[in-house]
Amino acid sequence: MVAGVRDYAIFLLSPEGIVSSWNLGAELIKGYHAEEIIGKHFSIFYPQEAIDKGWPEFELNTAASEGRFEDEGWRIRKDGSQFWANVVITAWKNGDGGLLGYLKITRDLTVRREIELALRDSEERFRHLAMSATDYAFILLDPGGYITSWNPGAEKIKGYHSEEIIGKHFSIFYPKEAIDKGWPAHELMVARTKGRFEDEGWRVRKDGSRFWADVHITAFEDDAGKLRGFWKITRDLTERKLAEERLRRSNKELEQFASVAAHDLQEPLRKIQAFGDRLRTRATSLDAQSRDYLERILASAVRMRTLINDLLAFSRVTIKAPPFGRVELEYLVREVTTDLEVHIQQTRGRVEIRSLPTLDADPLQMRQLFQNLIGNALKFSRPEEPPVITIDSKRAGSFWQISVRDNGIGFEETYRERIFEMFQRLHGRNEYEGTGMGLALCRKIVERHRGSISAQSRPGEGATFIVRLPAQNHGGQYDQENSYRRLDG
Amino acid sequence: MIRRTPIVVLMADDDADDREMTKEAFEMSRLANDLRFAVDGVDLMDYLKRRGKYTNPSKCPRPGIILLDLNMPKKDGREALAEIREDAELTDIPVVILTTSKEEEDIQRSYSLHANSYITKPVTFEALVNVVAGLGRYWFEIVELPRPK
Repeated sequence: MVAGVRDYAIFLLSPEGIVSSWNLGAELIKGYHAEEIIGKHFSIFYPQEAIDKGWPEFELNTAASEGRFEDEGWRIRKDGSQFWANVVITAWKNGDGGLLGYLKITRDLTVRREIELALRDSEERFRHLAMSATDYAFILLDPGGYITSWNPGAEKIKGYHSEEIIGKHFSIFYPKEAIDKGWPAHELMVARTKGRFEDEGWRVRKDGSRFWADVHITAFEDDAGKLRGFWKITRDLTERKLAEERLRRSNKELEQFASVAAHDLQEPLRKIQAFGDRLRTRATSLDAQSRDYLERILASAVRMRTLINDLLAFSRVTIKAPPFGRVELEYLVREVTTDLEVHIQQTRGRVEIRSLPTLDADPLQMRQLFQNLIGNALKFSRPEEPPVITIDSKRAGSFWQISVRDNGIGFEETYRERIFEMFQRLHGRNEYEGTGMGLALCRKIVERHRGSISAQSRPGEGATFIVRLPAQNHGGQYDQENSYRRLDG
Repeated sequence: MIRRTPIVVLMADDDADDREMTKEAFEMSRLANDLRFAVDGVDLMDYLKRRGKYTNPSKCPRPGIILLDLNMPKKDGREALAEIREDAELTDIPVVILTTSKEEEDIQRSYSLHANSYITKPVTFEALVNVVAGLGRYWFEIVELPRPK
């Protein structure tokens, strides 16, 4: 029966260590046929260094005196290759305690050893990584969720020393409400069935304080597919969450400031306009010069109101901005053109829309954008030449590139950046009206949409404004209701 | 349509100049209404509920229409409007918002709180006279007002 065993080399040695029997397993593991090996000394199986150190004799002597010897080590096959062996040598004695020989059982554990080494290596690397990471909590959980390993990052983030936390259940990190709802068990289950679980949520430190955590739980299994435990990586995102809160609050304050400022700043202006207007109707007793001064005062008041409104609109681009929806730009721009119909007629101008895409955007802001661009094109036309505005688009990677080209007065290349700055104008108030905020508003809108705007021009040869907008843009929450399209579409 | 005694118009506005100009606009439009004023939301509610300095009913005749500014100290027009609509005695009174604000949000909110209409105060006096004349024509000649409780 022994002869037929394949996985174990089982053979007898004489008291001197000579091989006196052989089996199939020995042949398979060590490579020798029975005829070649019986009669040879068993040290033939050992690497030269082991023989030099006297290992074979030592093993036999140990077996003789203590009854058995067990070890793991390298052995040599017939072809010279090495394998990792698990060896048991048992002394075979007669009734009087006389040594009759030895029974040697050898197992080839090369594969298992490689796996163990690889595992230990990766565990070592993991441990090294875990130990050096002070900003990440790396912890190991057993299949039941009990903590088996801790790292400096975990201590820093959660506050426990490893001695006091190992062996405890990981639900200790969760707020009571989460435990009551069964969250910890749920997370492990998801990790088990889907392989991993990711979430953000509140966790509790040793001192009871809460922090906002980013958590990844990964299940790991052995070769047989049996669950061995979980890795849990936690990051403390409280800072980021606090920063988000601060930003939200600051935006809210800015918004309140903006609307209060607008209201309170406008109020005295309104009075100037109202009483100035009443004065104007009674101005028959004033001389021409006085009436002129009055007109200038009133004109300034109007300008200031426009400026305040423009500033408010500018600040609202990001502060009071609703989420994006699907916008059919062609339809929207046609509507803008209709709104500007009077101005177009007056200048005998023409707006030609070649092609425009549908994309994710804020419809109101797109409207403001094109109103400004087309309005500018009409405003800065050449006196002798009716304005022709051409709007076209093409796809450039993940962006749409939209161009608004006119045949107006143009501007010098040196100013192509400056024109997008707040309050920057290239002409005096007397030449063209405007507050210098139009293009600044355009840029702010485009940048809120994570796009860009630029201009090209030559004096006397018109200008081309290029707006690049992402084709896909889920800015904040996507809002079905905010979509803008033709009602019959 | 029988012309009753001129309707009391109650205007709530914290701005003295606006109160004065409106009074003049009423005169220019030849509206014979008894125009009364409240200087803020608290004053307005005291008048309507006949409390504080308004315990004498002859000092605070019930208005047939209220012109209400939105932005006032102590209590603003939005709060006052909500209170008026909550009071069974007062809720029938038409309230016309007359304010400097042209904010979309203010307009929407006012109608949600059941204001009858919303007017942004015009800048020029002439335009104000037109608005007041229009108000007079609409509310006092064209429209039937509810009977006072």
